[in-house]
Amino acid sequence: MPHGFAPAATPAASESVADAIRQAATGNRLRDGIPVYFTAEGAWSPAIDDAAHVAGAAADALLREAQSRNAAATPDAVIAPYLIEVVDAGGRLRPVTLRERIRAFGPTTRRAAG
Amino acid sequence: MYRYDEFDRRFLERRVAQYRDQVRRRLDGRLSEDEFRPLRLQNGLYLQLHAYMLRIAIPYGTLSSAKLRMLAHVARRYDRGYGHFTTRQNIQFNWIKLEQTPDILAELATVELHSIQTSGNDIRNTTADPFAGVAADEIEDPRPYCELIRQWSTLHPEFSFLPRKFKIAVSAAATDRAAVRVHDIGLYLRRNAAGEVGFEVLIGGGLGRTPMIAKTLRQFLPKQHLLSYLEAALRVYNEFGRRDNLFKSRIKILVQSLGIEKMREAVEAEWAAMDKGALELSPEAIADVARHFAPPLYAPPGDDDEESLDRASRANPAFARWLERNVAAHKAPGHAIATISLKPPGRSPGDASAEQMELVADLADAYSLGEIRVSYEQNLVLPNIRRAALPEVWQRLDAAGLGTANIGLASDIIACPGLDFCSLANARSIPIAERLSAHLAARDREIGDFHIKISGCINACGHHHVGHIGILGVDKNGEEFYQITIGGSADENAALGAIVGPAVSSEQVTNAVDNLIGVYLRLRSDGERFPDTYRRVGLAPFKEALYAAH
Repeated sequence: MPHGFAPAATPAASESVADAIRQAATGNRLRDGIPVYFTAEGAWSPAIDDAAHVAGAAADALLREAQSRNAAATPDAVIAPYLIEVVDAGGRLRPVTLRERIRAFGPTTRRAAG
Repeated sequence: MYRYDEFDRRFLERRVAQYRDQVRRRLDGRLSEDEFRPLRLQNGLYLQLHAYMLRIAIPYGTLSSAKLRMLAHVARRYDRGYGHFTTRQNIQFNWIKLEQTPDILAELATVELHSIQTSGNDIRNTTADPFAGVAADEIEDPRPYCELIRQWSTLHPEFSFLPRKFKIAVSAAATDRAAVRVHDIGLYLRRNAAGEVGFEVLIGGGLGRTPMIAKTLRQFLPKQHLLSYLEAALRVYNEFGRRDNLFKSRIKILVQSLGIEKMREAVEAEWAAMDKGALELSPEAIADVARHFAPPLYAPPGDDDEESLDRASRANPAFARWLERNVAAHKAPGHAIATISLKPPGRSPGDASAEQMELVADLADAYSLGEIRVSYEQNLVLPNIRRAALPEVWQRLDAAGLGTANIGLASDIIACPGLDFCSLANARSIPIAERLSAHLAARDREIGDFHIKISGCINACGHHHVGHIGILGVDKNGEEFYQITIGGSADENAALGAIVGPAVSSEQVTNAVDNLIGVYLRLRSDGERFPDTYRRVGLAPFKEALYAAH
């Protein structure tokens, strides 16, 4: 099973679920529509594990930075970046919502599973 | 079938060139996303969860082998090797790249295919009985009228920015295989008491957030008035349909708020006052289009066709089952209509690989006079097969995974793409369909005719409202739940399903469906189909069974 669809790691006893949730920026790449994630280096990667993820008030700044990286309109531009919630599941990033997990890891149909 | 003339071909070429320039300007930034979005939607290109989705129009569900081969080529070259046939007789590709779409549209144009008006607030693909022109129970071929509607509605200057999308369906048979009564306008070709053929015009049907069964706007409309009358109805909708609220903008809401009497008055008044002029269809104009659909010269049946078919059937029980379920009566002696199931148990409903499409195209050329149909139930049809050839056709289909004998049975499930693909969805539909079809397939024959329909959101692209069992995916606090309805029907006795009770979890769906089917099997009279059992016993026993199980 792709790791994105495995049960989420349980937060450590010392942290609440809310504390474990961080935010990342994502959008769809203009030229081919694939989901991409904003990295700490200011680039966009199709791999969610490359995403920069922050907590609390830093999320707005992350989104502004992601949006500003789209000022130059090129085929690699990203359409309408937005924030998503993610958790660290044993060193791998996993979106909180099913919809974003499907975006990150692909469809869950039998055809997709091969 | 209809063949483009020079005007049509040049129009498509110019349209593709226009779109190619629009894409170029989007990619280099001269067009913003807000500026570009309506332009790409006018060419059927959506941005979904994983990629762009391209919806290609298949006018009234009719394909030539050349067109189907081109769709296979698109699947192979530009997508991931498969396509998805939809509940509007179109095809969708899920993995399209924007930068390749001009080339895709250019290639489609070479076989007279396009994606125009498969999105937007315009008149969409007019759908029809997939057995049109060949059905034994048909009074006249509806396809010339579908083609006339297509020509009238394409880039109609007055109706390109309607309050909302507009869908028309046409049937000319006793059995409604086009879900006519749940369309914005539905048309039944009928014969009146004087023996004349014309249209019963229905209006205000639809699914989605507020499902409604269409009402009769005009009991009998002579054929020559078809386009002028539609024009009048669309003018009334265009003027009075709501534009202030997306959820109240379909014509069904207007019909509901005015009432059918006032709606009829408004349409008839508009029709009486309008200059019908070129919209009136002379017999010559109808004949000019109808000649594209002239029945072919069917070979007469051979003397031992039925005997050889009978021998093949007795020799192979799997073929016999397919013959019984998937083959329908044709109006020409010695011929048959074969429905190809795209619902192998445990797989995504309505999908076909490039190889499967090419095989069907080959079979169409060899056995079906080059023609294929798409049904709104997400299956394909070979409409012109000699009965003696059915065993060979089935063998070749079966070898390619296309031989499932489940048409109209419980495992012949309709499902939208759902949350696995669609940006509008709240829950997944395909995995539910896969699990259910795998679970029910072994009991298909025991259960008999049964229609299960699954939608991943309230937009109801999976037609759940009109399923014998309908399943609607909802999001409850981030978890997928499924609301179950029962008693719907999409045929000439159309009915909307009733909600059985609170939504069930994904894990509970199979059990819930089992329980409901169990009630039906326990209570049905001999040979009684599900809708009749439901009408006789009501909701209560089904509700009790579902609650009792949980």
